[in-house]
Formats: sequence, C-alpha cells, structure tokens
Amino acid sequence: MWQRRRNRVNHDWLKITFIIQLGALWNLATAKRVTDRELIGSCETALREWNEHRAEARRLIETFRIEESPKALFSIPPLSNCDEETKSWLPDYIHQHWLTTHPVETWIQDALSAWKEADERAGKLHATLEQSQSKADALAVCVNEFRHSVSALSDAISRFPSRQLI
Amino acid sequence: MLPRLLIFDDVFGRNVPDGRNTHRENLCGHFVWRDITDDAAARASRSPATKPVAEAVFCRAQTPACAKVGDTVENDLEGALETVRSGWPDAKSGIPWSLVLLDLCFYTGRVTEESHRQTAGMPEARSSDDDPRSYFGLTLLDAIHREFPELPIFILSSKPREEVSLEFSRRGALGFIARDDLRGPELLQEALWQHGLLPDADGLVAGNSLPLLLALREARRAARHGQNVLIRGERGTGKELLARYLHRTVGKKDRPFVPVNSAGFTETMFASELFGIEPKTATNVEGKTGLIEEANDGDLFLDEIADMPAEVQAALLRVLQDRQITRVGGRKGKPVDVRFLSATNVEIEAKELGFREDLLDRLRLGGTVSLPPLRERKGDIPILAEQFAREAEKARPGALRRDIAPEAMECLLAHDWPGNVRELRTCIFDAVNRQPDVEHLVAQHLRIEGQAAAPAAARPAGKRRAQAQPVPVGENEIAGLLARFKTCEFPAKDIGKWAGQLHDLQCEHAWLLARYLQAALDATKRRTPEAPEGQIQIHPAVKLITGDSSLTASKAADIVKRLLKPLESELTGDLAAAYAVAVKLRPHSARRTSREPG
Repeated sequence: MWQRRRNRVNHDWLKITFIIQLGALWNLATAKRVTDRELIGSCETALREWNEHRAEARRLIETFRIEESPKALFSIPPLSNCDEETKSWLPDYIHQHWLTTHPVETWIQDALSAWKEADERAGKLHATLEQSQSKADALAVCVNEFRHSVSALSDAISRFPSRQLI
Repeated sequence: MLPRLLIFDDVFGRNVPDGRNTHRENLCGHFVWRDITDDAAARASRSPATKPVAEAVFCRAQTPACAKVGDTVENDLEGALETVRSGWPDAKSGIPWSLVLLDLCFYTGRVTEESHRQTAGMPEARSSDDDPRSYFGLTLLDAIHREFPELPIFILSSKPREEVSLEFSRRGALGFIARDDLRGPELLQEALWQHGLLPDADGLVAGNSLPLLLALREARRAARHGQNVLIRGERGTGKELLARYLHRTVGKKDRPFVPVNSAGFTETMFASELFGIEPKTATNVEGKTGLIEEANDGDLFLDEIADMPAEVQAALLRVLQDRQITRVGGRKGKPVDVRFLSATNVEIEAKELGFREDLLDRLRLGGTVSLPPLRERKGDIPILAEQFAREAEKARPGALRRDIAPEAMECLLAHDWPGNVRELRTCIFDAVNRQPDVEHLVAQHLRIEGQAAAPAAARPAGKRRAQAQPVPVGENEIAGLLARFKTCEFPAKDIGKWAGQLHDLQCEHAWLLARYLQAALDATKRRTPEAPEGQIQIHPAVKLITGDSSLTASKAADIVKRLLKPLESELTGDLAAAYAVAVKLRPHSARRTSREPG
C-alpha cells in the first residue's frame, strides 16, 4: 500500500505533473514576452498545486517507518498465524533489526529535510507574490529555487527502497 | 524550419473530453515545444512564452485516444506505427520526424470514476503495465526500430533508468531522458543535435530526404570537435554548401569562411595563394596574405583537393602538423588555427592519383561525409525546384511567380540528374529565363539535358570500323585537317548532300580523337622486363596530346573519359583499358569541364 501511495505521489504527481509544471513556469518566468499578470497567475496555480499535495507527501514520508517495516508482515498471513507469545516479542525485534540493518532513519530524515526545504521555498514564493511592486525577476529566482527543491524532494522519495526489506 | 518530434505517451498523448490536456501543456512549456498534434488538446493549448525549439506531435498509442468513464483503454501498436509512417521522409507530407520520444509505461484497463477523477481519461491500470519486463514502450521501441532503423529514438520517462537501461539499448534506443530531470530540455537539445534528423534550419542545404538528413547528421558529428572533415560527393551535389552548413552550425559561425578551389590554381599559384608571399624590399616583391592566414580562427574550404600539386600537398601537411604557415619567400612560421573542410569527387585513395595518405588522414581527422547524388534523394526535387524557381524569378527582372505544374514535376522526378543539384538549378533557371511571363512552369518549358540522348548504346557495334581502315597521319596533315574543319560548310541549297549525317560525323570525329589518344598511349607506354609490351599510362599520354605539362592526373582522367565515352561500347585493347582506368579514377566526374566547382 505504501509503495502504491509513493507511486501516486512521486511518479504520478511530482514527476509527471508538478516538476514539469514548474519547468514550464520557470521558462515563463525567464521569458521576456510574458506579462507580470500571466506570471503571477501561473505562480498562484503552482502554489495551489503544492498546497493541495504537500500534506500527502509529508504523510508518505512519515508513514514509511510504520508501513514498510517488516513488523507489518505480522498482521497478514502467514506471519499473522504465529502464536501470541511469539507475536509479543518477534515483531518488535524484527523492527529493531530492520532499523539497524538499513539506513531507514537517514532515508526518512533526508526526505523530511527535502520536504521542509520545498515547503519553505513555496512560502518564499508566496511572500514574493504578496509584495505589490513589479517582481518578475524576484519571482524567477523564487521559482528556480522552488523547482530545484521539489526536484530534490522527488529524488529523496525515490531513494526509499522499492520493495519491503527485511 | 524547426525539428519535429514524435512523442508516444499515454498521459501526454491522450485527448481529453473537455479539450485541455494540462499535462501536455506543461510538458510543452517545460521543453519549449510547439504542440502541432492534430487534436483538440493541441488546439486548446497556449503557445510557449519563448521561441519554441521544436514542434511536437503527440500520440497516445492507445485506443480510444479520448477515453471516457466506462471505456476500456488498450494499447494500439499498429496505430502507433501508422503514425510513424505518416511522417517518415517517404511519406507525402515530406516533413520527417527528427526524433521519436517514447514513454515506457502505458496504463491500460477500464476508466473508472476514480481514475478519471485523478487524471482525466486515464484507466485504473493493470498490474502488468507497470512491470519493467513487459513495458509497452519497449514493445513499441522494438517495432519502430525494426521498421525504421534509421529513425532516432530516445526514451522519455519518469521510471528509473536502471530498470531498463540494458533493454532499451538492446532494442535500439539511443538514450534515456528522465522526464523530471531539470536539465531535460538541454539534454534533449543535445540529443537532437547529435542524433536527430534535422534539416538545415537556414534552408541553404535544402531538402528533407533521408539520405540528405543522414549526411547532415554525419557532418555535424564529424565537425563537432573542430576537427578537419573530408566531404565526398559527385560534382554539383553541393559540397561547398555543406561546408558552409558546417561552418554555420558547428562553432565557427562568426569566424572567417574561406573557399578555395584547388582546381583553379597552377602549381606555382597554389603555394602563393594558400600560404601568401613574404614582402621583400630589396627585390620590390609585394607581400600578400595567403588564404590559410585569411581563414585563421575559422574554416578553410579546399575544393577539388585531388588536383593539389605534390609540392603543395607537402607544404600543407607541414601546416597541419605544425599549426603554422610559412609564406613563400619567408623563413619564419606564423601560428594559425584553421579547420580544414576539404572536398573531392574522386576516389582520392586511388594509388594512381598519388595523393599523400598522411595528408589525407589529417584532412579527415574528424571524419568523412558523403553527400548523396540527387538521383538518390529525388524526394528533395520538389523543394529544390521550388527554391530555384523563386531564385530565378528574383534574378530575372519582371519574371512572374509561377507554380510548377504536376507534369513538369513528373519530368523533373523522372530524370536522373547526372549533374546533380547544379544541373537541376540550371534547368529551372533556363526555363524561367526563357519564359518569364508565365504563371505555370509546364513540361514544355524544361530542357532537360541528355534525357533523350543515348550516345553509344544505340550505335550498332562494329559498323563504323567496317567502313575504312585508318591511315597514318602525314607531314602537316593535322594542320590541313584543322583547316578543313574550319572551312567546311554545309550550304542550304545542297541539303540533299549533307542531311542525315550527324551520327556518322559524330562517330568519325570521336574515332579520330580516339586514334589520336591511342597514338599517345603507344608513345608513352612504360616498358619493363615484366611487361615488355608496355603498360599504358593515361596521365603522360594526355599531357602529350594536350601539350599541358602541369595537367593533373584527375584532369587527364576526365579528358580520357570525355573522349572515349561516345565509343564506350566499341572500345577494345589499350583504349578500353585507358577508359577503364579513367572511370576508376573519376567514377563520378561530370561530362563537361573539370574546372567547375564541386
């Protein structure tokens, strides 16, 4: 289930939709022909898109530790058939073993940092939009920073393993 | 003209019920493409804010292209192939695909309320769709590459590259561009430049045919690191235009381009023209900047390099080795940075030509590009004919703008154009000059040289030889013969005496010259203990009959070909051998003059 959610967030949204949308926005921001109004409209659309999905992306990262732990295998057959006594200690033991065998915390912390960075860049873009004077150049800088941070977030999510490790 | 891309992708290629495919719009905005797909999504999309770098045609490769809730989406291999065919150079549209971009994973299955809500028109997907072992994109890649092996294909996907890198290489894709890579647009431009089938954007080397596009690609690749390039091609194929294309396209656009026709110089001129002359106050010798020096920092185009005298070859080799020139009469070398773009229409490696191998190796360090003859790129004739018609109308004051009538185009397409693009240009200019006041160029306006002529083949072999036996030329007989030629007239009142003799006159004239050559071949035979009968040598023989001691071997071969061509089917012995040697040396030389630029 987590892998499917990751696919939806990372592939279907970030890679297929949002990063490309920000790439187009970047080209718009650096184009001489475009008016401030067009640019502002496109920035607002991009921010709406981020706000719509940011929580889902964060949730995906935070739930990795629980959902992809091998401990979760004890809730479905065949391991769910273990006797209660075994189930009282083995899942936690396996979970701890998983945490020490794989860089789980690094994956999570890296992804959370990337998410936080992207969220801050979105905030900066929003703040620049709020200023009243002509701001095409300032917006271009913010858009560029934002798209790089979103791309880094996608890379960080891609580094999670693509199958459940034990 | 912009490069044209064909993109197979389920998400970006789909048509959407409400007409707008924002995914596609964003992709076009990201890569700066103009969407020219023939569908509602393209019509609804905005133009890119900046100047587009390519035109994009999207194809879903699935049915239905515009899916609604309840529809079942299935992959459509045959439909996808049909789309490729529609834009291949042989197709009627004449505008080829520069590059194909292929997605890997194509989602199939039923379009549900939920899948449609997430992405309009997309199905909920089957598990096999997302399995790297059975990606439909790889199946499509196989099929396209099998049918169109020359068509460059790249993978454009958001899937991990490492999952498929071996498979896509095996199946003929040239590379992988991650769709979400921020450098994607630059990577694609690089891929297009390196692998794309790109027409000359400036239209100087006009045409869209596959052989031409492959030659242009080869040229870009060869010249990309600023190395010397050798251009091969028959006369009139446009070798200098290709050199100018390289000059504009590959890095030296704002630098000098100096064309040099090697056939235009005598041996002594060659050195002074190429290397310049050192001024000498004592002897009042004026200094002169050589062509290599003029081309410093840029390109020197050396046409007809086979005609370069041996001494000049040696001097040029030193320039290429030392990257400096020494003027004629000078002692000090001067550093130069020049890229040499050379051209030839002969088999320059042939031993008989005596062209230095070490020089040749340096002149083709970047590679060799072969320009196809016009008969192998007939698909370009309509474009070229239109272009020449416009040029001719412009050059002829008062000439009307004209359409080329279909039957005239058929005539142009039916001809083999041994003189290549130059011959076609001459033909169109001639038609416009003779008929400036017409709005249609029709077949009757065209004078296509040689279309009706069939010189040797139509002549009954052996007929001429039976008529008379040659007798040796006597003292002063040539002078008498020439005088007779000059004074011989054909009075109209005696029409009955001379009408209908053209064929015989041509034959006898050709045989007279052939016997003249035969005599020279006999006189210049090289006799060795291994070949006491002697071996013919066409170069000294032709020098003998022309009286031109500076004649090059390739020009000698041209003359032999010209003299013996009308007798081709009747030649025996030394003449047949001489003709064979000449054809080997100059397989593609035109019939007329060897001084025309290539």
